[in-house]
Amino acid sequence: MDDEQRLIALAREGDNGAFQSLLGPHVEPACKLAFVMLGDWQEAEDAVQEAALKSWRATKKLREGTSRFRPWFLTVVANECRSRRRGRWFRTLRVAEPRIATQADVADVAAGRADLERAVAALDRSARLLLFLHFYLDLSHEEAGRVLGISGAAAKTRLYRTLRALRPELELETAL
Amino acid sequence: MNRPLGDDLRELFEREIGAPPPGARQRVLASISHATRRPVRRWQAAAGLVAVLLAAAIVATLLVARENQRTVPGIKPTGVIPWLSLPAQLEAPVVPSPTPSPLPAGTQACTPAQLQVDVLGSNGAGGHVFRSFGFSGTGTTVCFVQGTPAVALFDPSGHVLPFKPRPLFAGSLSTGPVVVEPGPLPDPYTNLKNGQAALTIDWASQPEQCQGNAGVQIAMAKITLPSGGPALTVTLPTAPEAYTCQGLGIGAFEGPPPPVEEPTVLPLPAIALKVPSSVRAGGVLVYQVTLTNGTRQPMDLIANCPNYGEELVLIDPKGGPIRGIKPTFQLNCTPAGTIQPTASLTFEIRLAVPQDEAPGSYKLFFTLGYWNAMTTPTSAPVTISR
Repeated sequence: MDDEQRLIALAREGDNGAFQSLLGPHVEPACKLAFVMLGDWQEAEDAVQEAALKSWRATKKLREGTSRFRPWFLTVVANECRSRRRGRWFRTLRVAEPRIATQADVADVAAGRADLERAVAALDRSARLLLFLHFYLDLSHEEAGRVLGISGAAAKTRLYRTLRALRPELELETAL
Repeated sequence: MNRPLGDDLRELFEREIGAPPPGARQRVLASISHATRRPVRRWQAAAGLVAVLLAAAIVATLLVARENQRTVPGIKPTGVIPWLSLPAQLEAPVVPSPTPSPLPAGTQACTPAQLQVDVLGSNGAGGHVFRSFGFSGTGTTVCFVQGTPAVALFDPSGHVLPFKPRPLFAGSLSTGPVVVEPGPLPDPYTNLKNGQAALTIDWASQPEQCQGNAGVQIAMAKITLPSGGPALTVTLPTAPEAYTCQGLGIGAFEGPPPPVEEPTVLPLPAIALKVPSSVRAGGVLVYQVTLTNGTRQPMDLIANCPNYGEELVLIDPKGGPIRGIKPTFQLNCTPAGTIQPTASLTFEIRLAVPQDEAPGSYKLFFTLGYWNAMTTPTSAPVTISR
């Protein structure tokens, strides 16, 4: 049993210190995930706070033998973000869409990278989210799929299509 | 030769997302600390009632003391300020609601000829695709747009699509007049500027929402202003298939968000710890924190009482689990008053060590701050024994 599994076991028994030790390293990635989904830092932090509370209350429901806290917690965060996006208060935060590149930036980077930035900006939200989960948060296909509410195989297929759209000449075997 | 795509994407996300607001981690962890109360039994409830009454009496006394202290500026307490269990104050201070700029007198409603329009961005939520359009002026005159225009959508063959208009799925942000000035169209990735306007529409993008209906491709939009006149035409980028059964959501014209006054980040004192070398598990670690005002301004702790966070982290050479106690409280500021420049104040802090805390060498970390800023943690070693 590794450190994380021991902390999970303690948290399941109601050890708040263990839960906070588990949670601490994942707050910032969770905030970034929430920001990607909601487009606003304040909303993102609120969502992570609510997700942290829900996770704490649900810790006892963590299955015996659950070995990784990170994908489980990020799934709770993603569900909270989806719930908020469905809410009446949600507004289309056009102004908060993550900035991709200005013309000055584009002039500074290689043409290929500028193309990539434009291509990523043109993707729909769920495709961008999948790229973020897999390449930025280093989640496996199965873990990213769980966060998105789809199977690992479906996540891999979507990732394949998205990458193919981004860089058609790419050797996908290496990227995936 | 291309760099690995994964590296490019990681770099791109790093650049576009940035970092969460300062103190986000502390605030999230603090919210857990406050949510971990155990169920209260009947005898505990009775004890709790007594405690509430006592607390009310203490609070009343403190309020009187605080009021008295306010009337004696510059009072400097002597000795160590005692510890008091106070919940952390993690709410952001209330700032006045921003108000939109008024419409200049004599400004006329825009005609289509005075406007240019282009696609501003796209978004998705709740099974709907949102498209935003940006507007700016073309001539030399300032004008305004207001209300909800009529919007018709067309397929790539130029046939009008049978969308029925309805309010925007997520509601509109504003319905007031928006001043439009001659100038460039809004940039897709920055806020609208003064003199620019935006409009958002939405349609259903999931086939489950319109079962039995075929999807359609949207290629063009024609926007007719509430005041009438020729429609403004915009070519739309390719999007997933749309479904017409839920109609077309059309928002009202929006202007740039009014400026929001950000709460000030207050300066924080320097911290020095005086911690006993050991404490028993189940006992109370009583230590002292000396705060020194290294700024040139007095620090009014009554007006702006900081929170403190404390954390006991096990230093385990074998690499065992990272056990920690991480509560956040508010400092006992009432008797402290103001720390003058270069002056110091010492606070007593008490930390209850759980009975089941593993014995060993720990580090006590202490931070001080407000909802939007915390100091770098200061630490001191402490041993927990049975």
